[in-house]
Amino acid sequence: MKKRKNIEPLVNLLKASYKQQFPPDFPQNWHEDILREIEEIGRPGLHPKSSWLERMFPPPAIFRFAGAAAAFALALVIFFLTSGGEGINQAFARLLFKDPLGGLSLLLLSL
Amino acid sequence: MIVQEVLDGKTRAFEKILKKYQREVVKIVVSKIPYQDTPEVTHDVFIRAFQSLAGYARKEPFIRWLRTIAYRTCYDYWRARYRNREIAESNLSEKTRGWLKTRTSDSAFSFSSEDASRLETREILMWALGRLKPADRMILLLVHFEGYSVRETAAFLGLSQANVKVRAYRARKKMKKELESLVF
Repeated sequence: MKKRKNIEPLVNLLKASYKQQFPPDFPQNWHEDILREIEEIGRPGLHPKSSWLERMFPPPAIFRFAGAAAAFALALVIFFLTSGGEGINQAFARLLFKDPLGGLSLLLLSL
Repeated sequence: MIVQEVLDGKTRAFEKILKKYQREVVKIVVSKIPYQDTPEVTHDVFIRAFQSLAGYARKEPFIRWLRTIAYRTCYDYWRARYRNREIAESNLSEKTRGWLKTRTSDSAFSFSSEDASRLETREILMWALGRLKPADRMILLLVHFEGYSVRETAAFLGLSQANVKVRAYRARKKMKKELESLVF
């Protein structure tokens, strides 16, 4: 079987070449371009102080919560309109005064 | 501190960051990105740094945080090109093939220290790296060429250590195989 040469010297040469990279000439206004872009980004208020509500519920969490709440409310309204309100009244009464867990399961079942 | 000045809205203070760290960032970028795209990618690194400045935790040195952004920007550059299929299967020029043949014709390869700075060597390096996937390419350079640990490389690129370890091994093996196909 033909013995193969060791490729390692070529790999080492490439490593040495890799470490000898010389930077190209940058355009003269390169710094100014970056600073101009940064000022454009920063103009509306770089890092505006967040309100207590934003700190408690970061925006994505708010959206998720609001979305879930809206869907739940819509389902309740539809149920109320279609059932005449009897079932939901009972469920809420149980939920608030008698048996919260049972009331919740009844509410979910009725939905 | 400069970072605080910028966070307080003095965007011009960012120029101090630019001047202080430009050389370091360029050094990272120029070795990983095609020569002609270096200014643009370096520009992107600083813009990303500015946009992420509020997230700088100050637990680590600023330069280390900036290096991570630079490595990830280079990684994203190759991922975008790979995704858009902009990486052409380049062939080595006849001149480079001829030069390599003369250097590898002996029983043992003989390269001089000047060979490292030759354009032909650079072309072979780019050719070999061009045969690797973006993640493999970055991992090979960071682990095998720059000597970073698996843990450090994983942190720079946002990958798991196990992934980096496997890819580092495979990428090196693949590169050697490609080089062997050139020489033998």
